[in-house]
Amino acid sequence: MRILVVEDDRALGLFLQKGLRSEGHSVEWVGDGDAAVQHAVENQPDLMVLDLSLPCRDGVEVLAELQSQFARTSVLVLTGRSQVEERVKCLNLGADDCLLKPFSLHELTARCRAILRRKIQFASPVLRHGAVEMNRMDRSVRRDGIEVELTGKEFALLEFMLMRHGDCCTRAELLSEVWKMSPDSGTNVVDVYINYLRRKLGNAHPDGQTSLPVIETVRGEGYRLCSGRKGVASVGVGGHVLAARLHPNDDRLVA
Amino acid sequence: MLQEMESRLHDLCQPLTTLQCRLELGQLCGDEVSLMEAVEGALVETAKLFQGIGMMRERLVREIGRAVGRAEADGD
Repeated sequence: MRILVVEDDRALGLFLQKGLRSEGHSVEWVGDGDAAVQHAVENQPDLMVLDLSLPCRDGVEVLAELQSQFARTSVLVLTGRSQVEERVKCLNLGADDCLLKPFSLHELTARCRAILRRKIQFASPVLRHGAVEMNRMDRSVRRDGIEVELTGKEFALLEFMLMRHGDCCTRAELLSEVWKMSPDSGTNVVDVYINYLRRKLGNAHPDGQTSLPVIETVRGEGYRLCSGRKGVASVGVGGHVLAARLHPNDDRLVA
Repeated sequence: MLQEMESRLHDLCQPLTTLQCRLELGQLCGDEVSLMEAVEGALVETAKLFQGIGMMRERLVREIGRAVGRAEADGD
């Protein structure tokens, strides 16, 4: 799950980020209210861990803004003030839970897990595109029903592409969102991992020999998921979408 | 005075939470480097706690002194 930690104390923010990452979440940290709202607009995290005492815009204002725009993001409020009224106000504004400082990292991670558990009762944790299915809660991936074992980075890459539902993901986007690297870093890590994914997802095909591709190259742009099933696929080339059959053994266009 | 104490207690919560999380994270990682980092970080947070507690104690001592002075004046 994607979590945003909003905490103005740099040391604490970084430790919360590290602690939640150790639970397998993708975690970002920002230090003020404006950055929190901006991050929520751009990335729509699954959960925001929100401190109330923030510069620029305090936690209550962030909460109100979120409530009006992004009800999909769950919020766990952190507060150092013991007044009941403040916690009631936060809950009424849409927070899912409140945690009083000082707290234990174990309690924080347990509360995050509880919120995310409740969240998936209402929103399916399963992402699906064509032959590929991913369960983000038990972190499993299947192609045509056959389980595929992925590393953490391969999982994150596939998750990002699944969330695009077959739209093109540029190399720059993948570098920035999955690897947190600058698009100008000059690395070919994206292409390397796309090949790993192709190989693993290809090997999982039930007939064991000819596997239809699940990832297409969008020439000059990046990559996109395709159905991975026999038939016609639409492929973007140079900004245009063409209808084409796919070669059975790789992702070359044959017509 | 009570309001000021509430505010100072609130200020203590921040380093105390960092201290707790830092030590727990060090324990979770378990390797020597993480444990050393946790201890070093914990000492920094403890220094902040000492400072906060020192200020509260000073304030309390001043308040107690005033109360004793008032009681003695009333006795006279």
